[in-house]
This record gives sequence, C-alpha cells and structure tokens, in this order.
Amino acid sequence: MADSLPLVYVVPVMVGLAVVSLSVAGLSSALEARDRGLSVGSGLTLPLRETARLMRQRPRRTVSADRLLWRSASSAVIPLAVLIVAFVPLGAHALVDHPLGLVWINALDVVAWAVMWLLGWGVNSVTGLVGGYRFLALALGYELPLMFALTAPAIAAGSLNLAEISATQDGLWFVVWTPVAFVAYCWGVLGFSVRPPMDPGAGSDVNGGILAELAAVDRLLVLAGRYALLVAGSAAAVPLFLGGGAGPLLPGWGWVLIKTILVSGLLVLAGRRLPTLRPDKLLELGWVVVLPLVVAQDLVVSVIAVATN
Amino acid sequence: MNLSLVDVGFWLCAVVSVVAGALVFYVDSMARATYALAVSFVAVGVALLLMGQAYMGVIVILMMVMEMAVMAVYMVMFMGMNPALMPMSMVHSHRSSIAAGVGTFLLLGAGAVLVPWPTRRGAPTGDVTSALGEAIMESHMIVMIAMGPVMVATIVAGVVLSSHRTRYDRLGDDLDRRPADDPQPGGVGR
Amino acid sequence: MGWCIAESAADADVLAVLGAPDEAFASVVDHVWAQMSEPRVRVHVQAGSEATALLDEVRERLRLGARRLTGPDVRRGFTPSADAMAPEHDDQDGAAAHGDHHDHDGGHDHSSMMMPDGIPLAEGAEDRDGLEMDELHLPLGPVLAHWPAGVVLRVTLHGDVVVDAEVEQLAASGIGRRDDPAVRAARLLDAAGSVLALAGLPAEFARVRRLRDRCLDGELHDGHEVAQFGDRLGRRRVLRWVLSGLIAEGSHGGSEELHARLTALFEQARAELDGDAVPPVAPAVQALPALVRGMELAEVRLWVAALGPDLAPGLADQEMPAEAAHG
Repeated sequence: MADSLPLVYVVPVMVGLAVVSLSVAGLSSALEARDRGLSVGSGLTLPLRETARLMRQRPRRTVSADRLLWRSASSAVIPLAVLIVAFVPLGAHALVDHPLGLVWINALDVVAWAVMWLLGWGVNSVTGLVGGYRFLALALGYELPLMFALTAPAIAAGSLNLAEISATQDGLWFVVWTPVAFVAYCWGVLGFSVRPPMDPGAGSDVNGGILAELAAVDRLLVLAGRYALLVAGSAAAVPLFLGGGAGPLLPGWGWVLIKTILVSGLLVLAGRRLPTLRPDKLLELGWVVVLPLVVAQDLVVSVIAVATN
Repeated sequence: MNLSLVDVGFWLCAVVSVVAGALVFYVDSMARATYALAVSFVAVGVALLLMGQAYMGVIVILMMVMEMAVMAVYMVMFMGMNPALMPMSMVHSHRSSIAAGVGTFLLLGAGAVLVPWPTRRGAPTGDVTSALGEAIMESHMIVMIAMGPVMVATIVAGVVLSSHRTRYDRLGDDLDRRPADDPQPGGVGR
Repeated sequence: MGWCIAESAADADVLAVLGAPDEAFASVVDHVWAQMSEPRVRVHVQAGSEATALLDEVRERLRLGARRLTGPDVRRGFTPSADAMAPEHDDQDGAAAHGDHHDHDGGHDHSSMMMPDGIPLAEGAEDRDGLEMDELHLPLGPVLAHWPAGVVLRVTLHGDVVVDAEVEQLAASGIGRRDDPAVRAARLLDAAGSVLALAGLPAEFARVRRLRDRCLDGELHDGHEVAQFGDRLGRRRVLRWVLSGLIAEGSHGGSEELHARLTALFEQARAELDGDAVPPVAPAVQALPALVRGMELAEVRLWVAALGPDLAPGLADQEMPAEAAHG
C-alpha cells in the first residue's frame, strides 16, 4: 500500500463524492420536473431542499422493530459507498492502493446484500420485508454476471490492482473490447445501489418496500446513500473499463471525475427510461441469458490475453 | 516483547470474532444471530489480512457476507418470515451442545498450543496471491478439477431431491408444451 | 417543486382529505395521521373551490414548521398537529392500521407469551410449493398511492404471494363530482397513470397526469393526443416484456393481459373524448378477491390500479389522500 494517497486526501474525496451524488440526484429530479412541466431549476435544487425537509422531520418508530439492526442498516449505506471510492484510483493513485482493489470492490458490493435486506427486515413491516426479499432475489440474478464482468478487466490487465488495470488500457479502453462485461457491470451497479430500473426492492408497486417506513434522518441517509452507491459504482467503472485518468489537458483526477459523472448520469437516464425490472422476470434473464454472455466475453478476453502475451 | 500495531489489530480481531461468535448463541433473534455470525467472520477476514494473506482475507469477507444473505433467503424458505422477529432461543440440545462446543474448543486449542510447530524455513514470496493461484492451478490442479464437478453434482442432486416438480410437470408428457407450465413464469419465456 | 404523492405515511408531510369520509374512512384517516412524522399538516378540503387557497396555506404552515401551530385552530379545515405527540412515540395503533405484520382480529386464543407488543404470532399454512409459511395479513387501501379511493383489499400473504383476499368498499363521497366524457376520460387516464407509476415509469406517469389535467380543463377537443400517447406506449418493448405474463383470470369476462388492459384504458379514454359509444362497465369490486388470489403483491397493485375505473366507478377524481410537500 505504499502508493496510497496521504490520509488528508480523504476530505476532498468525500466532498467530491457528496457533490457528485447531489448533482446526480439533482439531474434525476430535474428530469422529473421537466416531465411534470415544471421549471428545471427547481428540480436541480430539490435534493438540497429535500435534505432540509428530512433533517427537521421527527424520527419515527414502528412496533417491535429491531431498532439496532434497522439503524445499523440505514447508517451503513453511505460508509459503504465511501469505502468503494477509497479503492478507486484518482489518476495514478487511490486512497487505498491495494493489490486486490478489484476483489475489494466485489466484496463491498456484496455487503450491500446484507445492508439492504436488513433495512427491510429490521423495520418489522410487511412492505419492508417484501422489499428486502425482492432485493435479495434480484441480487441473486445480477451478482454472478457482475462477478464475471469484473473478471474481464482483471484478465485483460493481468492484475487485480485497479491502478494497474487502468494503466494497462493505454490507448485502447477495455470498454471497446469488453462491452458485454461493461454493460453487465453497470447493471450490477444499478442493482446494488437499488436505483431504477433495478429497484423492485424499493418500488412503488410494493409501497416503497425497504423505504416504506423510513422517515427523517434515516430516510435521508438511505436516499443519499443510494445515490452515493451509484456514483461509487460508476467511479469504479472508470479504472475498470474507461481508461482511468487517461485524457488530454486535465489532470488524472479531473478525468476520473468527468467520466464518473458521465457514467452515473447515463445510469440515471437509463433508470428513468426503463420500467422496474421485477425479480421474477430478471432472475431468469440473468442466469440464462446474461451470465452465459458474460462468460463468453471472459473467454474472448482470455484468448486475446493469452495470444498477445 | 514489543507489540506492533499489527499485533494489536490481530488480537482485537481475534477477540471480536470470538465474542461475536458467542453472541450468536446469546441473542434471541434469528436476524441478530445471522449478523453476529457475519461480524465474527469479517473479523476473521481482517485477521487474515493482518497476517499478510490479503486474498484469503478479502475472499473470506466476501463469501461469508454473501453466505449470511443467502441464509436469510433460506430463513424465509424453511421457516416462514415471522419467528425471527419473535424473541426466540438460538440454541437447542442445550447441554450436549455446550459439552460438544467446550470439548472441541479444548481439543483444537490444545492442538494449537501443544503441537511442536516447525519454525519457518525460507520466506514467503512477495506476491502471495499469485503464489496461491499458481498452487491451485498447478500442483493442486487435480484436486480442483475433482472438487468442481463434485460440488456441482451435490447442488444439482440437492435440487432434484427437494423439487417435487419434474420436467414432465413443466413441459407435459411429451415435453412439448411451450411455454412451460410454471407456478411463477420466468422472464425468458422458456 | 409542486406537490407530489407520498408513497407511504412515513414520507408524507400533508394529509389532505377530499370530500366527506364516512365513519370507517375517517378512522382510517386518523390511523394514517398517527403514522406521519412531524412536522405534518392535515387539511380537509370540502369544496373544490377552496382547494387552491387551502393548499397554499398548507405550504406556508409547513414552511413555518407545523409544530408552532399547536393551539386550537380556528381556521376551518385544519387539524392541530400536536395531538398525542410524545417524543419519538411508538405508533401502536397506526402500525396496526397499516397492517404491519399481524391480524388483530384473528379470533384465536393466544397466550400472552405469544403476543410480543400485544401482537399475536402469525399462523402458519402451506404455501403453493407445499412448504409451511407464515400467513401475514395486510390491508391494502383505502389510503394508498395509486390506488382507487375507498377500496380496501385485505390480503393474506405467504411471503409476497396472495393466498386469500377480502374486499370492502368504504363510502367516500367525492367533491365537485361531474359526470361528462371529459371526467370519464380523466378517470381512465388516472388509472393508466397509476399503472405506469407502479411499473416504475415516473416520466410517463407525469406525462399522463398532464394529459389528464388538460382533459379536465377542457383543453383536449378530441382523443387524438390520448390515442397517440397510448400508441407510443404500446410500442415500448421493455414495458411490454415487464408486464407480460401478468394475466388476470376473469377480468372483463375472460383472461386478460395487463399490457392489453393498459392499452385498452387509452383506447377507452380516446373513445370518450371522441364521443364514440363506450360500453358501460359493471362495478367489479366483488370479483376482485378471486382475481388477485395467487398473484404476488406487486401484481395485485398493478391490477387494482388498472381496474380502478371499474372498482370505484362512483368517484370522479382519484383521491390523493397523503401527499408530501416538496415546497
């Protein structure tokens, strides 16, 4: 971990994560405002006003809730996003430049399983419970394609270190020749951040599911955490598929920032365009169609990697 | 004896893992027991990290957290939903399990303390992850080749034994019914 | 950014009651009110003409922080917010009304050991795969986003699969009720919008909502725009895929696919606006329990929304009982 950034960089990285998450949330509500025929400006600032609204709301309880577990779950979402970002190289180095950065990203996205399910369980309400289990069912569908998608850049670069992976894409980004893995990865990001269209666990069709009983600061932490997870997942896509900090003029961290904003913005747009994918539809799609495609992608990457060595 | 930061971290993880492991039997809800077990495993994973086994450590954390979530799925499959929100005891066969637990602990602990462990000869390679990969893919390849099919066969056999519907129920006596008759149709339309 | 519908009581700031609810409905409204977090405002709109002014005042009260307005309220329509506000109180009654987990009227003789917090343990029964599952009882409606007003569906769930259901209709007299083609078309568009919102298409929901507002304002002179919108939606392949396989046996006299029902809603709205003959629909409330048995919760929500015009034919406007203010 000799190449990690000094600890003081934690502050700008966290501020950056917060600002990008707020902007992406602003984009989402600006789109909503446009579709409702309201001023786009009022949509852009909505996340700030919503934050103020939830901050002054009184905390809420439900009968026989497992308050310890419920509160742990709602407080865990944002730290999870911060941890993912810590492993993403901003230019040449990450906050934590670990030789197994890629495996860490994978391990952290799996922690989302435990957190989201707990969010639904701890509250002791039918809708929360159904939401939590819908999330898990969906996770069974997207996780394996996501894992195999993460394998592609690792094979191509011959490394599990994110900085090395992004340095290997000199000239040709992995997204060009591993498009299937890239799409499956983005699909997984939408899944673990419970964002549309991969949000049946929090969908309107189950009265908000894991979000149904959340109010005040708990709700704020989860809503903000979902955007932060989306942004963190998009940030991890940059060294994995989009050449990391490579780009003209700007310093490495600038390009990482721009690419992160672009990916998360595109994911928000896709979420607005597509209807909620329910687990009963998606599970089979994930295992029968997407998984074989991603494995085939890995095979292609392996053959090319062996041939060019 | 000089304690380094790593030593302190290791012992901290060791204590956390044992305490969290004991909590599994102390708490009165299935969800809390599950998450106590997850915390225990994560502490073990971090201890492995501190021992310089980065890959093993991360994989233990990844697999065990996922396992706990899958356990939650099984909770609903076989136990319904509600009992875990009821205070309920997490132990059964109280006396014999205490005896078995203490006995096993003493046996393993005695082994760890009393066995004359050899001193380390040579030094580990710089990249233990690659070394692990090479060991699995070279000298122990035959074990891996054998293990994979056995595990898959176990899973398939388990599903076949537990499923009360066969392909004839799904596709008809002549296996020509399309789409299949499922209680919950999938998304691909097989 | 205007008003938007809260998905649950937890997220709502404003409880707006439209029209005159009967006793049963009023007690449900009280339960919803008890579940809402402070600051909150409750307003009773009795005449359509006063709605705008009241909502403006709601906005002002929320801005000030409703907690300050705790004294006896002289203004008609508002309920003081400070009844029963212990700090971080447990919503015992509220949660029960919401059906969180257990049936209060199970009629079984439970020992107190089996009733944590006064709630009896769930009963077990075999689910469709023959495994024993807990039965959970959940009333859906009458106060629920994208749900026809006044309809209460008490479902018994195995996991999220409905094994049994009972239906009840609460009398809620709407306000400013008209019955002309524009209102009937708006009702159909409301149902279509609800389906789209539940299916996870907020953009399309917003567009249908605007179409419906213009329809009520008399700005739509024929069904052309409605038909166009329905056509475009019908061609969305992913939507068709997501809604495929959602079949209701016994809907409109046969087995019907949800996607077809959605398209039919636009077609009927067009017909209303164009002045074509529209076959009258018989109220289908009594058929609902049989219809939803075996469906999963989300499917039930989608179907009830789609059948909204048949379920609550007496109501001109879909009520929006619980709303969240976003200033």
